[in-house]
Amino acid sequence: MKYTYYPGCSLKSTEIGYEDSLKSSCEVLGIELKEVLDWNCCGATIFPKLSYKSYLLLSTRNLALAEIYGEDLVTACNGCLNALNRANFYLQDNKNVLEKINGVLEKVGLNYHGKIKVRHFLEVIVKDVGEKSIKEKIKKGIHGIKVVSYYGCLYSRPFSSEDPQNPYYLETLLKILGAEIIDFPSKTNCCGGILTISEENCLKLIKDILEEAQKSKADCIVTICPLCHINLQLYQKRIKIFMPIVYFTQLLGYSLGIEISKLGKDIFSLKGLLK
Amino acid sequence: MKNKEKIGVFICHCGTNIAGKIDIKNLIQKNSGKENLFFFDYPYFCSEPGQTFIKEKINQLNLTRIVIAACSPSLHEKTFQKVAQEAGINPYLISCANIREQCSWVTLDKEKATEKAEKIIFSHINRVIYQEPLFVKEVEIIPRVLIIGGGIAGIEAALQIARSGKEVYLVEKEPSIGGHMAKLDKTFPTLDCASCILTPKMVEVRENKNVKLFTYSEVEEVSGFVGNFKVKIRKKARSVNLLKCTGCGICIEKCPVKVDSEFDMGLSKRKAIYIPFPQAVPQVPVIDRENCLWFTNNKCGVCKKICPFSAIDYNMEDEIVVEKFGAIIVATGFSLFNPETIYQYGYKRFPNIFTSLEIERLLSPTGPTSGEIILKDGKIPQEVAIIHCVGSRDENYQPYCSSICCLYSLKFAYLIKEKTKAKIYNFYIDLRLTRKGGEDFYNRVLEEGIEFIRGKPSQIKMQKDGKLLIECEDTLLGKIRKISVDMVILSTAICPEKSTPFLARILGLSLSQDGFFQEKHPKLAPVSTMVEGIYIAGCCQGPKDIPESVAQAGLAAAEVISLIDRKKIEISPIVAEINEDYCSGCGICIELCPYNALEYNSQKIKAKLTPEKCFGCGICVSACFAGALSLKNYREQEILAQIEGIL
Amino acid sequence: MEKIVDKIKICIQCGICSSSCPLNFAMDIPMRKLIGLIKAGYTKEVLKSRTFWLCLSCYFCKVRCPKKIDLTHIMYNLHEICLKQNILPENKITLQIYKAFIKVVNIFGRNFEPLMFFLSLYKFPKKFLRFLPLGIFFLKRKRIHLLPYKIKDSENLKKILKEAESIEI
Repeated sequence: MKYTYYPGCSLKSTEIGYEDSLKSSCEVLGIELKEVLDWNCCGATIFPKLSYKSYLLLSTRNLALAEIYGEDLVTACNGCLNALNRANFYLQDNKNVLEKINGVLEKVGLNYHGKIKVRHFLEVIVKDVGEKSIKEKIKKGIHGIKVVSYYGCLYSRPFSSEDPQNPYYLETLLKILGAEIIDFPSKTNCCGGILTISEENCLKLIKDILEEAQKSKADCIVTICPLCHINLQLYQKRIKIFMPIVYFTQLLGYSLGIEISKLGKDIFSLKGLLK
Repeated sequence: MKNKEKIGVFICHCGTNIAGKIDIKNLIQKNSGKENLFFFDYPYFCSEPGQTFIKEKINQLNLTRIVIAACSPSLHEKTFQKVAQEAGINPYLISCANIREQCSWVTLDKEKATEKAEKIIFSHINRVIYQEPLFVKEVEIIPRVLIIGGGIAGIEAALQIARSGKEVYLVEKEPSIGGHMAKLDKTFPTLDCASCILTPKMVEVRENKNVKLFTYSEVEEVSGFVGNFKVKIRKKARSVNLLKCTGCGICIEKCPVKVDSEFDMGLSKRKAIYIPFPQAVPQVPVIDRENCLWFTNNKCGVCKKICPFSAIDYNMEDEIVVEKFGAIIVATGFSLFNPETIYQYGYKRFPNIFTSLEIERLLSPTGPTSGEIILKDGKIPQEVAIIHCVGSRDENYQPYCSSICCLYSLKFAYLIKEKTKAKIYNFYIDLRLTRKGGEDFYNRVLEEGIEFIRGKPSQIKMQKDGKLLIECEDTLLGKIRKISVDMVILSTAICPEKSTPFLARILGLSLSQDGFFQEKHPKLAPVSTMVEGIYIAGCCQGPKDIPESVAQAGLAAAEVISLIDRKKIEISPIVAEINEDYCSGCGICIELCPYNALEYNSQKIKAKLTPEKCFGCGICVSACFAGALSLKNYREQEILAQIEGIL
Repeated sequence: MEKIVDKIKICIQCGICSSSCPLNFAMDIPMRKLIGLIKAGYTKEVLKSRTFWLCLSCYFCKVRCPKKIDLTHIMYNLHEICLKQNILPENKITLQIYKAFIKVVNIFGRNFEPLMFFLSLYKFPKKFLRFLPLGIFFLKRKRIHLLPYKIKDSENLKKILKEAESIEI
């Protein structure tokens, strides 16, 4: 299975541990990831606010570069997923705009034909790899760990094939790995994103999520986006609620028998969780 | 012009509509003297003296063909056809040239308008030479009616038709007639008990000798055309003999199996052998073979042993009844929207959230709680929220307004307040209370202190104390309100009934964008369909309340009675015709016909036309590659002649 | 602005957008009212409000809107219009972060945390000091580096971004 890989800025810097666990898991599952050549920042939710046209250029450059390899474009960050998809669908629906964008891209030797699909790594694992293949490769189960799945807002909205308010792929994966799933109604609530740094009101959102997870007596919160992960971790001291936050690829990698040192030991130590 | 016909061309002034733009005098002068062509003009040919004028000229000059140059044929073609017929000419030997809507009304320049009018007139003169005399066909109407659906609309139509002395077959797929109305507690705005007003009608249906009741039955196949429909009805095996059973109920008492009751919307249990509700007609139980121990495991058999009348028959099989009908009325009602798809309202995830029909059952004295409004834990609710427009007026679910939810939401508010003295909140977007007595009812409800909050709630959350928290913006105040309640009622949308697409296919009916049956004309023909002889009534045509359903049922009944009393109807002769020599049996025309008038004849490997169903739309003619299909009065000769006349 | 008005003609003012918004408690004008004001032409009041600056792009409003109006996109447009007309938000930090991000991406093609951190918060000493320990923590753990990474095609990226405004959508 081959995919074109778009890491996004976070996975290459502060959340490099997430990428480690992602790449190790892919090796075991037989997924080949080819990183987009010389990719640039997707623009996240900041560029569209200040200059929609600049954002379109940024994201389309990435899409054009991905189109060179031709496979589905896979990302592990909700923000990047949203930014790339938003541009992709917008250009597919407005061919005249695509022409104009290409007009500018052509000056640097690029052209986007609108043929790429952008997907989240979670969906690829659950849909493409599938339950059977994953179960075959599981070496250690994570039985007895009570997990709560936190998708964040941008995974299932606005372009997902899943129910925008009730996605279930993460629960499906965690069930396959043997964890005990606890119902979490806030699973698609927003963590505050980038706004959390400047807007104190966002702390209420993080507090609500952590509180609900704590009340549900879960052992950890499983995330699928680096921004959600950081937000849920960073402010725990201020809010005074402490809860382990884990990436889904860390749990996946552990189940596949990968050593903890290769699963982003710096982002969160799984050892404490797996007592 | 090589023709032996004497053609009369009658150019109407239409007041100043035509004469004001087209120089009729000049036109006539220019063309008078042509052989066998006679021109006349008159202010209003559609008037009585105008028509008399035409008849006189026909008789005087022995005219054989007529061209009327006037307004659109959609207005007066029939008028002039009648005139021709009265004067002794076949009504299909006339041609209406539209020189008003297609000429004088849309051309600014007088000279150009006159030129165009001349061309139009000559195109019709040319075509009328080739027209053939055609004769209407008479079809006999069988005096028997099929009504599909035994809810209030079906019952009303059945009674009206039966009282007029005609035979009615009422087919209902549930074990009893009554439909959704039988589930209701009280009806707005008068708050009559629904069963009390429905059951007398249900009994009348049972007693009336002209109504043949087929409950637990479904229509499987329909063929034929108006006056002559051939229908195959499947009488599903009830496993209980209708003639022997007295409805004593011992079998039900002793049955060991308990299943969710469909009538009580899953809120209570019924047995595997059951009568859906106490006032059911017929008062005979039915065995649910999917859950009965005898049919699934060959065990039990208690009901048969214990029946004092030996009415239980495990060997009963489905019976097929084939019968012919003159007309069919479809009254299959609606199904309720399932709010489980709206994740954020927590239906079925949190307790004490109910749909409208579920609350009707709770309110009903024959329901699971004998009419008490209580929560899952048995307590009486202190605060109740009623959310309007759940699944309606929403592009994500059903885009249309379900018409009755505002009124029944108010009804719930009133009745629940009466029973529990709870604080009630109605969350609405717009209030649609157009029924007679609606505004009065609103006043009554407001005086009871029920709070109306204009805003659509975004989500329902479960609080730690078990209460439900509703978040909504009170749009009239511009404030975000979080209200905790004990019970939530979702006023759910009315959706097309599940069998609608299947029935549409076998009857040849079209569906509107919302999925309900398409009426012929929304204002003037709300119960007719594009298929002559098939009518629709009640919610299957669109969401509506009981008085409207009854009114539509009455109209459908009247149309059917009038149809049957006419004993025969005329079918227009402007229909398609198949030249079998050219037909290759490709089947394209069959797929395209909107009236299901074409079928595949597998023996001949050709298409077969039922002219009585044909409406003369011409779609098949234009689609046929081989040129095997032609439309009478619009054949190649006529159309090409018409084109030549313009050039 | 006219393009926005065109998209919101179908709004029935049901209020599900305001109610769904996670930060509705911090907004001065509820979302629904904001849309109503745009429809009615009260542009100044709309652009001065705090509401759309609080938009998190969570898309709850768009997904729940019964008329399927793309509200998030409209929030983006309002940001752009505000800046073009030089109407600055109350929360200066937010705008500063956005501007810093844009500068950094323009230069390097990707985010570069140390510069981003500095440019966003240097004017706001309290916040700067609050986040400084975190920055040092990341540096120590080698999750961020003091040496920036520039994409190979950064000059071309700068070139095409300059042309952004010339495109007509």
